[in-house]
Amino acid sequence: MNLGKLVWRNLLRRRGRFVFTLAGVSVGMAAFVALMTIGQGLKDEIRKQAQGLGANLVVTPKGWCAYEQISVLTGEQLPSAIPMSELEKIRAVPGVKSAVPHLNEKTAFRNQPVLVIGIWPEEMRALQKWSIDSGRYFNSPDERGVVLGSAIANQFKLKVGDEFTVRGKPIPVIGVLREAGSKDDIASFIPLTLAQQIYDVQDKVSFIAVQVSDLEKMDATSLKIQEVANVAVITDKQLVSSVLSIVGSVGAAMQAVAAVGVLAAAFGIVNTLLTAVHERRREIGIMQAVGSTRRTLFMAFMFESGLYGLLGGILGVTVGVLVAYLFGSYLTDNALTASLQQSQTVTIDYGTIILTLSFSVCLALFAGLYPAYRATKLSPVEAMRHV
Amino acid sequence: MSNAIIELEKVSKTYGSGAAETKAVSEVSMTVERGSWVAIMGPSGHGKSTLLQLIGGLDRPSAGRIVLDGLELGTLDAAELAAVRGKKIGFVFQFFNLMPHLTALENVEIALWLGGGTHSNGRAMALLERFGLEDKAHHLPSMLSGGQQQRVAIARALSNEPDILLMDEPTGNLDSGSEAELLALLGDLNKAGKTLLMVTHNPAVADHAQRLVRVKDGRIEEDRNNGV
Repeated sequence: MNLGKLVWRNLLRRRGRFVFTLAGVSVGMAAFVALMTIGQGLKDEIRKQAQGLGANLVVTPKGWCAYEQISVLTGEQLPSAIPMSELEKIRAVPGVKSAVPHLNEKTAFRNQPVLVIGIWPEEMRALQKWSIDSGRYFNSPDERGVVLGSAIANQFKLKVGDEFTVRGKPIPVIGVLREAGSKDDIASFIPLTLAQQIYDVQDKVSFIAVQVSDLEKMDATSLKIQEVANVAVITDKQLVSSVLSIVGSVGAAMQAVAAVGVLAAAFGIVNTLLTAVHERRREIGIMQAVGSTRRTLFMAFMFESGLYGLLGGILGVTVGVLVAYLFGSYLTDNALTASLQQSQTVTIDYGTIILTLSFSVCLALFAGLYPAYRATKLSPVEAMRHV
Repeated sequence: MSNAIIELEKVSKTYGSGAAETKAVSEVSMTVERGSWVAIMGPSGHGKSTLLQLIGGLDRPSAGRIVLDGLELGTLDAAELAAVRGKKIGFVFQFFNLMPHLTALENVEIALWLGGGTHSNGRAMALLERFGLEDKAHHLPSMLSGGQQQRVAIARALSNEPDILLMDEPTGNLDSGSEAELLALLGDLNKAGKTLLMVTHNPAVADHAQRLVRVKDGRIEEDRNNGV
């Protein structure tokens, strides 16, 4: 006989109670893991999208809100507000290696919304380092044709030579891009002039992606651009941190929900153990009569509580990771993240798992403190009382 | 040097306070010789069990001194007192007080573990064999008869080789056959040198002891040799 064996026997005495308390801990921890995992997945995804942008600076109209800034990364439809004349000024700023305009619009194709991005073909290809999966790329800056992202081609079963429509106007598919794992997979690209013509926004673009020739002088270049043109400039890092701050607040709300679950689980442990102390008060007396110290009794209840935390944590992590995998995309389904769904938004982070397990055990130990203390306060005379 | 193993000096135990104050044990002084067998008798609620609890270190007296084999219990802290209970004393209760979810063998093992001594793995089984319980070792208490449960309880009480056995109505829940068996067993233990202190209602059981102490209203009313 030893402490571990005694605790295990005690734990399994009331199997129903054991199972339900454990279920409570598992559910709380599962919610915690699932939301942490999904939140982490979202952040990773946003960083990836930012890299996919290929630019150091993003030139936007003045007064854009954070949501519009995010749309630069996710490829949502954007107001077209920068005149082409500003683009020319920006291109002339020393230190600007390239300035590539984007016109982000949306069209309905077979009743599904599809992103349409108007671009300068050569400059865009240099910026993004795209490679072609099938067909070819644009031959001239104003060729009437569309190059599709791989996911779009898959979704609509479109091949080179098929007809795509933008705002009802037929445009032949001339090429399909190789899968990039970014928003480029879920967009269709047409030359800027064609886009401006179809959407009737002559002379304006949504935003401009700028590459600087010297990263050291990025800030100076940014200032210079704002001097010569009536625009706002944010760096890619600012963009990511701005997006992350929004995702962060979404994550915080999710974590608050998880915290409620975790807290309820902790109270479940307290409840179960208090009941156990009450039920076993006679045995506690017997144990004291045969020589148990209060410390041993305290340890026995703490051990029992810790086991709830450990087992519940293990189950919770397993269930939570599964939930994140199976339902992660639904849980994060909102306008902000809709466009990120194309790729897996779940990242299994071993740090999260270890953190959750230790958190679960620590929480359970904390929950066990009061019941264990109560057990040590029982008088050994209880054993001799003829119940 | 006296051969006393238990010494009580003006020991009192009071419960409650003010108007509700009750004196369960009132200035009891007595000495128990090593290797003797003492029966404590008296009406219910007159302090017999309380006296046993005080001697066994399960409870502390409100006043007075208790010395157990040279150790003054009042000077010990909770952990030291627990060690005394584990090593010097074996308790046997009327209702056996076995752990209901542990097997007979485990009930003995838990006392071995809590007593803190180092014992070979076979000791718990050897104790059960000594009391003819080897084939019941893996039974839960609920599957054993009263007599068998009480023998497990005695095996448990003896697990750490205590000098003193404190028994509260050990035959109170046994049929006459099991009672006779148990008394024979206690006789053997006493011959082997154990000091037995036994609370009982039954004069026939008390007759097996060498000395009889009658308690009334928390005081010793009579203390005589049984002439056994």
